[in-house]
Amino acid sequence: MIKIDRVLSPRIQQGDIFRDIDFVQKLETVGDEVLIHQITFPLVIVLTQDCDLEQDSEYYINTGDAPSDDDKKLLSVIIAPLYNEELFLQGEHLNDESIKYKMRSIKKKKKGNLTTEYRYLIENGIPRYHHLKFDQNDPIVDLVIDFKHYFTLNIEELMRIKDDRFVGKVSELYRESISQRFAYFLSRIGLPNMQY
Amino acid sequence: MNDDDLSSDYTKKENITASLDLPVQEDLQTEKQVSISPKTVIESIEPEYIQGTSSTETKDLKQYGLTRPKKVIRRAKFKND
Repeated sequence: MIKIDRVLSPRIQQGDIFRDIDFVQKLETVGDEVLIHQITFPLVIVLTQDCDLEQDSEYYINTGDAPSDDDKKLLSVIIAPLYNEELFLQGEHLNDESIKYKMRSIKKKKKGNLTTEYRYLIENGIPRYHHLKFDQNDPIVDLVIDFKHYFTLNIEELMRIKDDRFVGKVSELYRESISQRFAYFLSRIGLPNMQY
Repeated sequence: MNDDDLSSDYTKKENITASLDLPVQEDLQTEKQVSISPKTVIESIEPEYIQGTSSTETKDLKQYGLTRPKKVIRRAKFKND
């Protein structure tokens, strides 16, 4: 059970959850027009290390001791979408009229019992995914992060909109666990399939 | 980025960060002008949020994370002063 801290910080923090975040996929020039392809994610989480975000915040928040150079300034923040667990299990979390991605499904129950794969999912035993179950008092449904899906946001833009889009912050230890599993997944070594 | 993901994405377009050519739904709405440089003006046509993703609607539901991501295309036109 993950605790959510609902107190809005003056700066962006690791584990912050924001709503309605736009990811610009590409800019396409057609004649004298530019087409901006973007996906709006209902919920996302910040994965950037908190110490980096803290050092970067000194450029935006007046603490009385302004940095003498731009050495610690960040260009962007690592973001991962949060998917509704129910849609995720059906493989339908990216399948609607605007994004037609059919993902693999995971069966939740078989003959009234939880399946082994679903247990692995909720116990975060599948390296690719991270399951988040929140306290009953928090108005957030169960969510899943797919570590294959991530993008970056310009930090100045996120600073501009963060107060309006802030939902809450995943409490410490839990947020570190998410980032550590993300880093582990990215650094995995894909070996050729073995023939037995 | 992990090469295993890029390799998988080459045959199965499951990776958002690497896949660019998705089927889309276009939304064309009202027009506004935003200056992006002293000599250039961008005419932007803003999309409306598709039902189910607006912040107001999400707040009304008192629950977050119920909806899917949505894709839209915004159009911008460049013209010189």
